[in-house]
Amino acid sequence: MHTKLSIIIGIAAVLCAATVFAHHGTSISYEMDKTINVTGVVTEFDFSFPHPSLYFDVKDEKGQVVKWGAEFLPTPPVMRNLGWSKITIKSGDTVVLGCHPSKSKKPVCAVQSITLNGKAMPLGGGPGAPAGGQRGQRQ
Amino acid sequence: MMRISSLAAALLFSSTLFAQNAKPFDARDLTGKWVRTSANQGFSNVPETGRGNFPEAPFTPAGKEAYLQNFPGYGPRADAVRRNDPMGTCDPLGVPRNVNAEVVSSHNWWEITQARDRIIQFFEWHHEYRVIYTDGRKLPELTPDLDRKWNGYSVGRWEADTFVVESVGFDERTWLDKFGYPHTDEMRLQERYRRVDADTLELTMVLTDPQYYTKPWESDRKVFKLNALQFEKPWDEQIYCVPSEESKFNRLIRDPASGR
Repeated sequence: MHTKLSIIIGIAAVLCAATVFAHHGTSISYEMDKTINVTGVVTEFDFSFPHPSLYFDVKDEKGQVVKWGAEFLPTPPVMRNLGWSKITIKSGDTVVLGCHPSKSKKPVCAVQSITLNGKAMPLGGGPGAPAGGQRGQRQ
Repeated sequence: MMRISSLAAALLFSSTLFAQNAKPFDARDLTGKWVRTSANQGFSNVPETGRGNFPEAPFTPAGKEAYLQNFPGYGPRADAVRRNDPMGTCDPLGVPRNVNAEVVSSHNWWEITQARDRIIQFFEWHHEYRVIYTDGRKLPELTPDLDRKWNGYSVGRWEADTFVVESVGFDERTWLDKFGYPHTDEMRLQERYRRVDADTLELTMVLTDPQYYTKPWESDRKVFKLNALQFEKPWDEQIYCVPSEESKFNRLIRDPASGR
């Protein structure tokens, strides 16, 4: 019985994932099955609907600054319910992102987890979320 | 005999339970925030949406051609580079797409308020609304000079406890849903709303658009639950898709990501 229930929940989770990570192109713009780690210094946090986004500087191997951008999967109302606000991230903050890389290999990604100034921040427990729940859902 | 008595007792017991659990409601009062709980986010769950074994959309050749010019961000025809979903530029979604309540929680709802001569349907996406007149007026003639509207022109009437909405005069730039199904400005739409219990509203739609569809096309049955919001807040969220914000997002994030 438990096995059957688990299978049903598993199938539901897969169907749900296919639906939620797809706001006019999210799931088809990023490699959702891969995660990279990116560390940078924030230049702007845009807590707007429906795509909260983050802009930050990353130093490459040669010490050159590369401008990065990232989108969050949850919408502002969902993030707000997790304690976020427009002033949660400020310019100059250090972020470490677990991020789905773009299919184009450009320096943009979809945030899967985030550590802000050394503190792990909640993004909700969407399908495939690691223990503790870092991943959010995207409409 | 014993078996029949037991069956009768069971039926009596269950009907008593039902009576105890059933909340009173007025079938002709549709007031409230209705949250879509049925799974399909499209107009109809035809195979292109990947859900169920349903017949293909009844396209005419012109309809199929128009469909192939729409590049959605969802489903098996999702195209990251050519995507041209009106939603991606914050253009109005229109009716019936607004009625689908296609986005997921916490925005997958609309609200109805009823007045003496009209019903107002408020859509959370874009924080916009439509008016369904119930004062007996006639729909406008579909003449070439009629201004087409994003949400069309709508009138409503009661057929027993079903609220029937007839609409015409749609702007053909909108899609039926996020899967890119098209329509012309000659489309006629009928919506049938039925409150089946205190907490449940059911909706089916039928569109008639002979240029693009060979026969009337019926939606799947959509189910909405009263006040089943993911987050109940004391104040409205006021969800807007702001063109300047969306444009910046597309330019700096989404377009580079998709190699557009």
